[in-house]
Amino acid sequence: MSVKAIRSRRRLWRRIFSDKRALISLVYLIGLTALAVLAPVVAPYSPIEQDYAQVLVPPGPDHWLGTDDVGRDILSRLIHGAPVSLFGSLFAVSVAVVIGLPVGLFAGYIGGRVDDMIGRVIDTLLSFPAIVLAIGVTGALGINLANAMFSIGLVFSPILARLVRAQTLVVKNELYVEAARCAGAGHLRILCRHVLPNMIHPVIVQLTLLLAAALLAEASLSFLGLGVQPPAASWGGMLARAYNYMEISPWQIYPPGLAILSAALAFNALGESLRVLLDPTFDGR
Amino acid sequence: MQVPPLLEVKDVSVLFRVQGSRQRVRAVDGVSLAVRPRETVGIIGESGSGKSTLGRIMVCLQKPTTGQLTHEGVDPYRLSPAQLCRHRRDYQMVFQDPNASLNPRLPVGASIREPLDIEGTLPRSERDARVLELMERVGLHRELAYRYPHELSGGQKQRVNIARALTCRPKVIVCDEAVAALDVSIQADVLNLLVELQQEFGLTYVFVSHDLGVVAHVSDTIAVMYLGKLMELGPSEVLMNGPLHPYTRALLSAEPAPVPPSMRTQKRIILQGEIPSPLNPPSGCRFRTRCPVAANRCATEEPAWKQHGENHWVACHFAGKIQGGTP
Amino acid sequence: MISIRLRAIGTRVLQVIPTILLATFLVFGLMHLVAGDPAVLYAGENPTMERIEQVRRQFGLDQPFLVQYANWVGKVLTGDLSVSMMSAEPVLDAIWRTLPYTLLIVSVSLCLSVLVGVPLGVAAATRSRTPLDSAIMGVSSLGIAVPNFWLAMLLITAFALNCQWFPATGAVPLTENALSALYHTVLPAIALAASGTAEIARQTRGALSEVLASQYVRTLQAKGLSRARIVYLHGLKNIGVTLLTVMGLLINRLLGATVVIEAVFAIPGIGSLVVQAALAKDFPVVQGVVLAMVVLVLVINLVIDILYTVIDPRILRQ
Repeated sequence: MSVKAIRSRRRLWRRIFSDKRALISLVYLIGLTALAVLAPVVAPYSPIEQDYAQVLVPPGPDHWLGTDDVGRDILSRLIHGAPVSLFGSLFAVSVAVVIGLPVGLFAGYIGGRVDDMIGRVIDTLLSFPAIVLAIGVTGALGINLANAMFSIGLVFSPILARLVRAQTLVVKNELYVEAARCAGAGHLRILCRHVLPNMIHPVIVQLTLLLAAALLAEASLSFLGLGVQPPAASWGGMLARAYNYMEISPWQIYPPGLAILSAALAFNALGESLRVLLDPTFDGR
Repeated sequence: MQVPPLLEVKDVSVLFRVQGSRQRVRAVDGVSLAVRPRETVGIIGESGSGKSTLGRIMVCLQKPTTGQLTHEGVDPYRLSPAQLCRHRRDYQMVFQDPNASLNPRLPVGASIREPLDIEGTLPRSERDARVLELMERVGLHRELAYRYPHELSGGQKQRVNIARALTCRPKVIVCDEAVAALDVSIQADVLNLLVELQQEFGLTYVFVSHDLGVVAHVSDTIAVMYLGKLMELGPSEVLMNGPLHPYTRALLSAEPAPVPPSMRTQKRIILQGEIPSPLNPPSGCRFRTRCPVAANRCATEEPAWKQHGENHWVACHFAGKIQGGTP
Repeated sequence: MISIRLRAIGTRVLQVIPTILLATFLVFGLMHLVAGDPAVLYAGENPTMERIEQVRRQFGLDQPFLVQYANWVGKVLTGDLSVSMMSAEPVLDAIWRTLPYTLLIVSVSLCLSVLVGVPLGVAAATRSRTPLDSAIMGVSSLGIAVPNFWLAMLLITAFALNCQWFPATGAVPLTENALSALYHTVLPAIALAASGTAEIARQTRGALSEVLASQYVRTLQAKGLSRARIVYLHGLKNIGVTLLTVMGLLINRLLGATVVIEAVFAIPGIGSLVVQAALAKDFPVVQGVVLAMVVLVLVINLVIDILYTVIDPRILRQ
């Protein structure tokens, strides 16, 4: 019965292709991912090689985006920053899924007092200012990119858990779940085959938006020195360096900033489009 | 002639807690009913009568708060969870809403196949074959197996539900308002299908409905429920021709008859008032607030469940004392 | 009527207390879970085993978790949030010292977000599906996606370095010189307000569009009320609740985002405090700041909750 899988997926792709916003963001993100993967090949220079003869050079034929304060080529650093941001966000969101999805599913499915308790904990965690908590956790764990992304994922997991819980609470009461139970389905089968697939769409939308938020969070943390450590290249770190030399070489702040902005914008745009595409009844708010 | 019941409920009650308050509702209150093999039992009642809840109790979808459920003498809740899952296959349900009872993400063939998947004994190819066989038997084109629920009509979806209920050759099928959501023209088709299937597969049915016409057509025995309690229980010909409970008489008189109004000998009994809230059922006989023959006794004393004929039971102080249609 | 309101407010205040307690438990638990062995952190650079043991005993870290938690809560209630490992300054003093700067920026930013965001949202909703609507929504998408510290740098470049209209860095306490304080707050607040304005504009547009399309409003139109009157009187009143909700969420986000902004503008606010503490592994300060911010957010949400009952009498009945 795989004919059905092909048919429904083709319909979805057709809808994505017809939505300009979704298409553009998707193409952009795929291109960015390709760039990230091929960074060592594509970048003209090494991102960490310093050249004191070429310090703070403005954009020109040799260095398309100029050089920074220790003579590193900005374009190469920009390209090498892409995998940091992209895969870092992916890692952070994965952490959020691994923690938040099971908790939300469990709480929503089990219902009753346990669910109330877990719901309270989730709501309280959501009132913690995210970045501050991430900073705290990173500081305690040890300052590097992996820990920073882990702490961001940790801080995002209540957001996901709340959504998953709310969706599960609704779906588990659907009649087809009861029908499955009547046919003798156990809890695991019901969760995997009936509950999860029917609530996955809003979750996908939320995950896409979380990718944007994780990207911005990573940039903030790297900017503060709590993420990627020098001399590795990251967009946030590049902005931190550029900040020190804003007066004399203001052009440095544009490439990394625009890179962050465009990536976050693409993720957000894709998420918003998916929200409409995956739920035809949505009223387009 | 005593054939052991295939399914029996003894004095079952279900207590629901109302959301956000301390109040409780007795959706089903002390109901006893037995279903014999190859029989069709119809359960009639208005919305709020507890008939759907009773149906769900019978297939272990709702655990009774008090009382006992037995399937061929066995209490299914005594079984281990794994055994219960296997046991369930013999007691299936066809749900009321053909839309909501099918997983929108699965093609209907997969939904029909699910009980077999859970059973897990047959290889995939045989399971698929059985599904297609069943689909043909219920009047669906084989091609539809690959379609999603939203691509099918209401009648087709209900046939899918029937096919799914038949997949594991159950002993009992409870039809919970199975035709209520369908167009009237389709209702007859589906009902006839159900009757055919019963004879072919040797099924036992419990038909839950608010529509006396539907139930009378297919049932051997009819049970009448009101606000969670049984009012009358008996063979369908007896209830149709000589109902003893005022409520049953009112329901019967409301049914469209093939006789034009000018030639009717019986007056239409119109029930006064609205059905009371199940949170606060009337004292004594629950039906007394709308009953045309209610007396003072009905408010103070709850009528006993008395036998009035072979397999005919009624709960009314005036049962058998007032004959015919007019009070 | 008045006593019902007071009672509603009273219950909400009471309900917050277990939440705050739960929050303290979560903060304590999280920090300790994540910090592994706090004794190692407290012991400073390259500690010896004896030093770690000494620190453990000194800070009571050899006691069971719940006892430690109870001790900590007890101390917190008396105002003792421990002292900084770096400067030996009591954490509570550090918080009092730095919080006003942060609060000033956050408040100004919030006002800006509302003052700019609401009119934008109203404009977009009343001219729905026109180029203006698309433009406003497009700009708001940008506002949400832009890294606020980058925006800050752009603002500094444009308005502080090139034009010298505003100071590039620094802050002045409000009590010292109100005007100067506000002057220093302008650029940071604008940078911080970008995403808030965008979010408020979106929510306003969404909620108002829904109200304008509703049957209720169409009845008013049929009665002959002018469009402006409908929008401002009936429309905005109905979205008041939405606005409050968004503001509540925003405050949470702003308090977080201010961390980076303070770094860019070299403002000695609570954000800078926690960043420096994290970099220096100054555990007590980090824990104290996180707790302070959480309590602050919960209290503000409580205030908003109370405001709900004032604005929307329907909620009172719940």
